[in-house]
Amino acid sequence: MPKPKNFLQLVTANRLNDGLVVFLNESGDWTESIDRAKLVKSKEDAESLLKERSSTGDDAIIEPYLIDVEIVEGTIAPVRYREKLRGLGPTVRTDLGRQSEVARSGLELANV
Amino acid sequence: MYRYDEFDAAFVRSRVAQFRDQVERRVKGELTEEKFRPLRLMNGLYLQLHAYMLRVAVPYGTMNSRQLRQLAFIADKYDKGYGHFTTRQNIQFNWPKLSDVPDILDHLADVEMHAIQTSGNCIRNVTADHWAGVVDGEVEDPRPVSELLRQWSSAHPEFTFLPRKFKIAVAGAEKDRAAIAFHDIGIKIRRNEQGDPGYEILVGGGMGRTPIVGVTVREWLPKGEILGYIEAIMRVYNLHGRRDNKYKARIKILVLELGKEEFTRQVEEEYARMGETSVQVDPAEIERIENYFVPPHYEQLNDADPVLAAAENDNAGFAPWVAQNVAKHREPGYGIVNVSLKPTGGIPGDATSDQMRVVADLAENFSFDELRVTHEQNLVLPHVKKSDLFEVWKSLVAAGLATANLGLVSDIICCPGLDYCSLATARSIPVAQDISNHFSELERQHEIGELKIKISGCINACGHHHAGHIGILGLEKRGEEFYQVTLGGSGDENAQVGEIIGPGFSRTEVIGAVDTIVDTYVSLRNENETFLEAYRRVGPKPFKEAVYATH
Repeated sequence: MPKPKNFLQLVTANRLNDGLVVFLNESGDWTESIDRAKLVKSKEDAESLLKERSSTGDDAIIEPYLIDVEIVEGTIAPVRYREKLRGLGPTVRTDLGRQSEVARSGLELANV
Repeated sequence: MYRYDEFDAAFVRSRVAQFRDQVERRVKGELTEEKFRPLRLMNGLYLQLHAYMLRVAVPYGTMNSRQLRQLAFIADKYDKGYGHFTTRQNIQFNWPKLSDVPDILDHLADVEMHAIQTSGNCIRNVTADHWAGVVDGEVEDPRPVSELLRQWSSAHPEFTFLPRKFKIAVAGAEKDRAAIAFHDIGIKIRRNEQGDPGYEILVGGGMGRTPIVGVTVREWLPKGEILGYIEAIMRVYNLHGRRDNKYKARIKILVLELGKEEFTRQVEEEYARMGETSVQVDPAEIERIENYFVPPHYEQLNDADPVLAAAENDNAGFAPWVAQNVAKHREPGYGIVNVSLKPTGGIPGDATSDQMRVVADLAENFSFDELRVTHEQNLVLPHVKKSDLFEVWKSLVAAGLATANLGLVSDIICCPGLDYCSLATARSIPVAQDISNHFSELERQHEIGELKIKISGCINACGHHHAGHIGILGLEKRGEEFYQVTLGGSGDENAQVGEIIGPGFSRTEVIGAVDTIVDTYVSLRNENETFLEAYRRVGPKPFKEAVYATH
């Protein structure tokens, strides 16, 4: 997989009740929008953030982990292709997943 | 088909109640995800790339109209209005909410269905020839022994925590339509020299990162000994199978490491040791199960049907569909209708809830209320009168289900790949769609003839690429999707693992490579020679030369 130029990560997970993809934001809540995710700029901060979230007994989400991201034209974009797809929905059914909600709301997709 | 008795019904209901309680405790935080995960997997609930996925068992691929309508109802009420039929003859729903799953399972139990043994390191849903009971040349219907194995293996305490998942497939004819040689255990119903039906037992087949064709450990086993002998195999595996390394935990690795002779010796030794303690199947129980699979009351008909002949003459699209998608039935005047879930440019194996209801109605009205799911991700109406074929075809056309491509280049097996699967390394569905669109002219497909393309989105090979005449494996290389191509694989009675032809192709190159391979075959084939026959005659060289000269 490609190495990002600068270290930049965020915490992602799936929501317990519906399994949908979520991201940890600055307030410590989970959001479906990657644009609102909290970014960490060092490996130590990233690991600390993940450890902190994993140990809180947070039952709202499952399987939290860190992903590499980069800023592209002012917005947050995952580095790995897998994570780009995961944040959007199936490319063969663009009427489903986060991509369809974004399209319906008229918002622009974040470089994915 | 099999009907639940009171024990089946009570067991499935109790599992639903148990899982409902487990979900409630998980949501309240009384169960951690670590503790809950194996419990949800035991009930077929995975976490995939975008959401949960519920895999529902269709034992040996047989269903009735009521069951298919219930799946359509579930798709509409709890999912996104569609389902995906899999290479294990199951169906998957891609968007269920955790809190809805107990209700979904209750709805399934209402129609004698469940999601048990569709995940985890247990004996999985037993699969079988999708033309069971209706095809010419069958020794016996493979479904009764499949049902026997289902009942025996369900929640079997000794085989609930195996080293790894365990898959069994059964074929009832010389022609293998169940890919038995690529299963942990393959069972082939055959006669011995005296003409008595029994079972040939193959062990150690599989796909994944170590593709292996299974080996025969018993040429012929008396029918009544099937459970005892399978139990002996399972015990050898349970004892010696690798639990320290997930990638070496399947029985195929044990058979490979021990060798066929030593593995067989250990199985026979265990079987002999079990002696009278081994499970002998009561003939009355076999008869009870077989009675569920007696043929329906067919009409006495002439095989040539004037209504069919007239319709074929009068409707341009009908005759090619009959020729390609309707197989010979063993009863005169009937046909086996294969409903393609591979429309041009479509997602292989996907069916909308409306399409499910159409097929359910057709099964009820024209096929003795029975249908099948195939491991090639199509559906089957197994007993349709030839005089009804035109009516059935018209309904299928209206529902977008009448593509006349069974066994042709666009009848592609394809796993969900990175569009849905959390394990995938590349997308597979868009590649299948590209190929389907590229060869969209049915006339061209018919000229090419039988050609099985199988696509997987990762090394786990759920799309059976190792067994594809042309196999395509999607991988990730430096952040990009790329595709490895294999040739010469086969999942039939002459099973073979495909050979990698050379360096992989980018997402945009792979369709060109497939096109070149097909063109090469067409240019070198002898009269009436299929792709696989031609490949076996000439080997990979001309294909490699053509592909890498142009790409």
